[in-house]
Amino acid sequence: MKITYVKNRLRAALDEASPVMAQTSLDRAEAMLAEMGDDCRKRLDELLAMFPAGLSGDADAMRLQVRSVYDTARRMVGVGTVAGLPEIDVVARSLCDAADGLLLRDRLEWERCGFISRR
Amino acid sequence: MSASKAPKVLLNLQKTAVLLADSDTMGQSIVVQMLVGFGARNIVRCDEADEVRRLIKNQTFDLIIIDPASFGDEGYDLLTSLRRDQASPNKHSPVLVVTGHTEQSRVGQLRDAGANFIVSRPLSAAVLLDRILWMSREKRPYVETNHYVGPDRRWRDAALPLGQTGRRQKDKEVAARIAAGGEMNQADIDLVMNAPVDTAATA
Repeated sequence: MKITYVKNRLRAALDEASPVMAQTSLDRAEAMLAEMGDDCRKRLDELLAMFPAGLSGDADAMRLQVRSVYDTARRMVGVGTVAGLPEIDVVARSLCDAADGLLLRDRLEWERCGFISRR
Repeated sequence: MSASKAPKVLLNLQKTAVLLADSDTMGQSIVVQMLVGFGARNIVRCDEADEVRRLIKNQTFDLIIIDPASFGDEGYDLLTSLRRDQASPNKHSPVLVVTGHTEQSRVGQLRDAGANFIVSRPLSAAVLLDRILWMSREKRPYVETNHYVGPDRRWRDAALPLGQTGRRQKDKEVAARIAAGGEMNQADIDLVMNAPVDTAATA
């Protein structure tokens, strides 16, 4: 095993900048996030429209559709909170868990995903 | 130290070169807003795995924020190769993984990829700021073994940064013993004395 002690590059970069109170930075960041609310809500509508109503085709096609549900739900996580709809993040994570679980076990029961989508 | 608990903590990313790698543009934009709020001016945004690979080979970054899941299979390889590539200028750069969800089959791969921190979405500005501050105070060495390359993960016995409330059983035991007026044993003293002190970061 090789152990290397290195200078913390991030620390060095922070030390080079003029000091700003972290609270000021935080307030600024939160104000900028608040401006993104409308864009995030639009993005959520786009993503919601991408969910299929059910699965169709052969097993391979259905597997791809569940994969697509997983990817779409994963992209929603985090957007809901900025849009002012934090419940969406909870639902999207739950959908990710369900779709991932189905793919991992190679099961294609849409009802489990559909139930979360409907709720 | 959390910014909310220590209002005198300083943070300005003005001179920090940041690589933000996320194939989802909205996910990217949310993090960019936070980073700009923290003063960052030099943010390289990247939404393609090949481009990320090229950038980490040719450019030095002070902070790398990546959502490996957004790049599919390639995303995890990106992280591993970043740490394993001897010629990479970012071999020892701080890496923060931000992820909305990690597939069960990928959890082990992500754990062993060599990130300094992994945070899950939804990501608040306060959490991102805390993690950046935490990484800026890290003194962990980098280890290289056949199976793992990255920051030393053996930090179970290291004290938490000042101001953090411990969640480990050991932290709770020490706090309870002190609250009850009991004496600290040598292990407790070691735990407290190991606390990182970074006066430069506080006003």
